[in-house]
Amino acid sequence: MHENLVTVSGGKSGSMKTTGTQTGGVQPSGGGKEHFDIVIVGGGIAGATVAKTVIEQAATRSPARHPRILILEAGRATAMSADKYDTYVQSYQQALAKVPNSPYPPTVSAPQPDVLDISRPVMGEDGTTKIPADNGYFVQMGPLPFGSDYARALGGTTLHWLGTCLRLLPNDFRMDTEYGRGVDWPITYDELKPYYERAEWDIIGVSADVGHQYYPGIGGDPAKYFKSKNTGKFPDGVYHFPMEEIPSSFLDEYLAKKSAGLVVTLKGDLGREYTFPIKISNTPVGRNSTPTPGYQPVGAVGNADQGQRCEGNSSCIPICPVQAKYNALKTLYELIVKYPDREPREGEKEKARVAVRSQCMASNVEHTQLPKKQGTVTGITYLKYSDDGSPPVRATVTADVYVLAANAIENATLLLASKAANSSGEVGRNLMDHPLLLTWGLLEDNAGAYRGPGSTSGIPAFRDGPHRSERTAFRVEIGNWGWNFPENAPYDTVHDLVGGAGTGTAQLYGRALRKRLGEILPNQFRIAWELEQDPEPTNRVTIDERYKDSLGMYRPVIHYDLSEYVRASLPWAAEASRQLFERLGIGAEVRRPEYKPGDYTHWDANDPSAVTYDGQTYWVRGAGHVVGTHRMGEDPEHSVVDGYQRSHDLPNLFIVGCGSMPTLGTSNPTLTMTALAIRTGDHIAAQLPTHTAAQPKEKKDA
Amino acid sequence: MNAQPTKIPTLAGLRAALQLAIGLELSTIPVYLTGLYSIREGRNTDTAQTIRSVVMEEMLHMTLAANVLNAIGEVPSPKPVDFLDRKHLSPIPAYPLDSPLISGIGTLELLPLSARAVDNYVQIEHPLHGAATLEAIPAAPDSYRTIGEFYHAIDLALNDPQICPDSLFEPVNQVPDNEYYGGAGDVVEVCDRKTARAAVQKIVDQGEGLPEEALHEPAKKVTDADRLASGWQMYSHYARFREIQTGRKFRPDQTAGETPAGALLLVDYNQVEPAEFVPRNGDGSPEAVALDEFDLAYSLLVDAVYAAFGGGISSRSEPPLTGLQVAVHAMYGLKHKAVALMRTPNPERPGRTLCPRFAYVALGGDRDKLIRRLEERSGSR
Amino acid sequence: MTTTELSNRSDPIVVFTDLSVELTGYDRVELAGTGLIEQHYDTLLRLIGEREAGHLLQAAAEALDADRKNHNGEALRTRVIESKLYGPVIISLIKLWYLGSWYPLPGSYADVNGSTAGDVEHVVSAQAYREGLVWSAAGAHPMGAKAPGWGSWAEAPALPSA
Ligand SMILES: Cc1cc2nc3c(=O)[nH]c(=O)nc-3n(C[C@H](O)[C@H](O)[C@H](O)COP(=O)(O)OP(=O)(O)OC[C@H]3O[C@@H](n4cnc5c(N)ncnc54)[C@H](O)[C@@H]3O)c2cc1C
Ligand code: SF4
Repeated sequence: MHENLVTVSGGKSGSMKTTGTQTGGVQPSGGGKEHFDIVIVGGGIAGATVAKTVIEQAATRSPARHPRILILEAGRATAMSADKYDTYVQSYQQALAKVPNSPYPPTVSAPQPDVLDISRPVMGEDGTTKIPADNGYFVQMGPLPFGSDYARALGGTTLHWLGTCLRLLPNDFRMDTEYGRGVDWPITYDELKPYYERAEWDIIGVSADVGHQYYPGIGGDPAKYFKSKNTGKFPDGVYHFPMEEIPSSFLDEYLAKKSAGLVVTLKGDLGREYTFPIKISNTPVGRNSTPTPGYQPVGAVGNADQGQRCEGNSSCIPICPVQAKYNALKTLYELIVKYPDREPREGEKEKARVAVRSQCMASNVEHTQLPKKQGTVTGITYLKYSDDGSPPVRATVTADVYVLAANAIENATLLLASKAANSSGEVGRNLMDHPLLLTWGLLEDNAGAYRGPGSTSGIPAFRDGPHRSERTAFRVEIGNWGWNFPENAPYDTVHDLVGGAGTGTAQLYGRALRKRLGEILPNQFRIAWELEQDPEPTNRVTIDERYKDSLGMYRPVIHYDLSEYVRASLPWAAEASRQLFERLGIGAEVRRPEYKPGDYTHWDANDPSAVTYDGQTYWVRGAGHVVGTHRMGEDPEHSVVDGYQRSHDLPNLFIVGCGSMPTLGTSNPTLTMTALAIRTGDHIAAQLPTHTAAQPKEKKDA
Repeated sequence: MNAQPTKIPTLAGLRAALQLAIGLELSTIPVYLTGLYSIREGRNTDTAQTIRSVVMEEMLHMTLAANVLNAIGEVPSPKPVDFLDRKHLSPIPAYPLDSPLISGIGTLELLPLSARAVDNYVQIEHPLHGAATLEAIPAAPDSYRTIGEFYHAIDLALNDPQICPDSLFEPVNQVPDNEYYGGAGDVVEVCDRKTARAAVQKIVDQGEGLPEEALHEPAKKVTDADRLASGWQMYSHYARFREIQTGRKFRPDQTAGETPAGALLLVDYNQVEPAEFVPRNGDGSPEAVALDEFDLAYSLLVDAVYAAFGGGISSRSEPPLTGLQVAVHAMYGLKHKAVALMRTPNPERPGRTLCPRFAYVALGGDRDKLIRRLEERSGSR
Repeated sequence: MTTTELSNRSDPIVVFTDLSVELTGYDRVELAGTGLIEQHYDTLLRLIGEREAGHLLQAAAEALDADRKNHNGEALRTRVIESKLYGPVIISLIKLWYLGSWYPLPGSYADVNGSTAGDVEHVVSAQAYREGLVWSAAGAHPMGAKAPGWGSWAEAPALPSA
């Protein structure tokens, strides 16, 4: 593949035109390379947040600074208008398996993981990998397959996230100090709080009611936990979200009523007993709802009227048809409309400029770093592909500041491939996710399943507490879509009822079938028990010469397992579920194809994600929360980036995203990651040298 | 004939006029919805978006008129009113509709999207309803030639302290701005004369009731901010429908009175369900039942909207939803029902499909009868 | 049965519709409202072959006539649903209406009647997915389409009358 590349970097500036039409107005710096103030790799929420923050903050500097920013995106730019986005919706509706990536077909050149590819590697007696599972994009070395995916298309994985936006709890930032587990963060909850607020207001747009957040570990008073220092915006520091909470589903209310007063009791090590009062809590989420005064919900890209409110399409994962749910396209669209990459027109004020280049795969971080020494990044090399039979074009761009925002796993492979920023040896390590245990049952009553967003409430009781010294915390997510996740319902429900697999005769049809479905489907419900995973150096992303994709990029080679600490929570989650189901009146064990109220939870040993603990088999699914591959810390020996996500080794490089999180807590990571990215954006804005890339300047390295 | 538009001399007259204004706004909605819902899924996307944007604004106008009426001490109601010397005018439309109030507007018909339907839309939204001059429109006693005249009369009355003393205005039952969405712009919450007149002005500015001069103003004003916010507000309804009618977009330098001369707007009248309006007939076929069901759903929706204007809430959920929220669910449900009807062949009329009638069945005897009839038949389904 | 009745009823798309009504428990207006009668008819012909479809619809027409006379569903059940020949096709047809996907016929059916190239599991069309009857039977709406509106999920569920 490589010999086919057309290389433009270092050529005459005329040949640069081959990289696309966006090059108009470019001031090449030394060697004919295009130069920008900032080059960002990855057009997802992390990259978009940094770009927006830097632009807005730099404009408030005195004198104002209007940076020129290039965003390199590996995937296609399919959906930057509402009708184009609709093609994703069509592709979802037509997909046989409606998995997260089903609306977003990958290109040949920018492959992406898919949950359909998850299979189990074969391990040897000695615990080494005998046969990796490499049928998908990931090369799974085991012993467990890594169960999550991400999307490689402009907008990134937020195209198919659920949108849950929980902040971390104060103790999540000091796991070592508090519980002797994991590591402490270099920053605290209080330090991150103002950035959480900005993430909730300025980037994502979060709907929630402070008073309905019943978290443990916050001293019992949500108002205090959310109390803001920004008294200008929130008088007396009384914080509120930009939008009112998304109404809880009828199911949530049903469960709340049935479980009122329930206290789950769980037995820990050395016979210790732990109690967890169950309280159902409406979940903050990046999904449009009734705005509070002064906030304008952001609708669909290119069609702001659409998506002003969540309409209950019930398909947030994999796609919100109206874009009521936040996705990073919204932020990117705002940037390219407000800050087009062109010279100011007559009479126009100078502004920042943003160029988004899709189908540009960053392939190398050019740098001067020598082993165990600091260096600088001197350029980003990328391949622009067209998938039309012509070879990809290689180019290198330079900038004053470089930002990697390609998702935790891709950040890691890119750094490893570039032999960059890794004097700590931590790049790729401490890979984490929220291993997710499902339990499900058939309720006695019609609770209205298959309506509303994927989840509107959860049970936060297990998120913090003394049990975290012996086993992980977990978050409980109540699902609104029946058995869609655990049993492929309603499909498999129809198969069960119509039957006839062996006999060729339908058992149920006509009005009887219609009626029976109405008795079963709305009564289905499931719960996801999302376990915090602790950082382990052996859970890691690596690269291997033998595994490359069609562009010659390294595929992620992943070693993954669950620690004893995580596994110890599996029986706890199962037991908590049992006590809850008992209370709901569905304690009896039942299995399909029989349908009557009861507990249908079962975990068979032949599942690729089966895990055994204490002789019992469980299944764990990935939550899509890919975290921890370039952890932040104060100590360059044991961390990749500092508290601002700046590389210890390469000070003009920022590595942003969930990869920076030292520990995971029980919050879905994106809100925290966005807060961190805003903090990074402020930092970059303050440090940008005063010239702009659009103006000719002295060559720094001359 | 009187050249001066009818004056509204009393508070009672103004209240009746606003009841009728709510009905007037309501009456255009089914006309546009029939066109919108007849478009086959995924086709004519530009046209569908245009019509949808107008419908959203008509609903906003209804809400604005209701806020004004509430603020001057009367709760909106679907019941017939006496307006000046005319007795028992129903605000609620029945199709085909000859407006009891606006003589220039022509007959409002429920038609699937077609060239004729779009001509009708243009006529409704034209400042003079297609006439060359105001004088060319025949006038009738206690009515108005154009929507513009009607709102002008309302505005004069609102501005007259003899009719509306300052103390009259109170912010009662106001639909709050944050409950309204979908891109039509902001709801004006009415608390005094100024906001009342602003609300009326907003109705006039967005489309219906435009003064004739509007035709000489630029067809649209586009800014970057528009691209991020609600782009539709840069066009009047008239201009939007002219684009569909001519199959061309306006160029930025054109005025609304000109013929659009920009890019092609692709309209395909074949990608539309061949729905045909037929008046109520009593046979017990599944088709007749489905039409009746639609009427019931529509009637419930209208009730929900009026309940919202009366400040009502629904106790079916926890915490309770506001009346407007319930109305919104009813609207979504109505859309799916309408689409289904328009796909369903009419056995009496080969090649034609059913068309929702948008017939409001008043509460009381008629409603009870309809419900009973449907209950009896649901067994036979 | 009179000849006029027979000629009317033997319009294959009418037979297909009547059969579908019995198989799904949805009346002809509800089925027509999906906009899929013709598409599903075509799918059936395409995936089992016209000749086989002709046999099936003939058998169905006769059985439905008998049931109309006797005011029960016995003939359809014994002669079509439980038929070795038609039973498997009926199963796929029910699922087609309910789920919008075609599920392939069993090998034992194909061994006798052959199999068409398209007879593999697939979503027949986006519309077939959106209008799958299973969603309305559940009192819900297809995931990713026909949204019921803001906050609707907080309201008490209701099943459309069957
Ligand atoms: C099913 C699912 C549900 C989820 N739900 C939630 C939730 O409810 N709450 C929550 O907090 N989080 C959730 N997440 C996680 C969330 O989606 C991610 O944390 C988030 O999208 C990460 O943002 P990012 O910008 O770092 O990466 P991404 O969103 O993955 O974006 C990275 C971008 O970089 C591009 N890129 C990759 N490689 C290269 C390269 N070499 N060169 C150039 N560009 C490149 C990609 O194409 C992509 O556009 C979910 C994830 C999944 C899979
Ligand atoms: S429920 Fe529907 S409208 Fe709401 S966010 Fe999810 S997909 Fe979007």
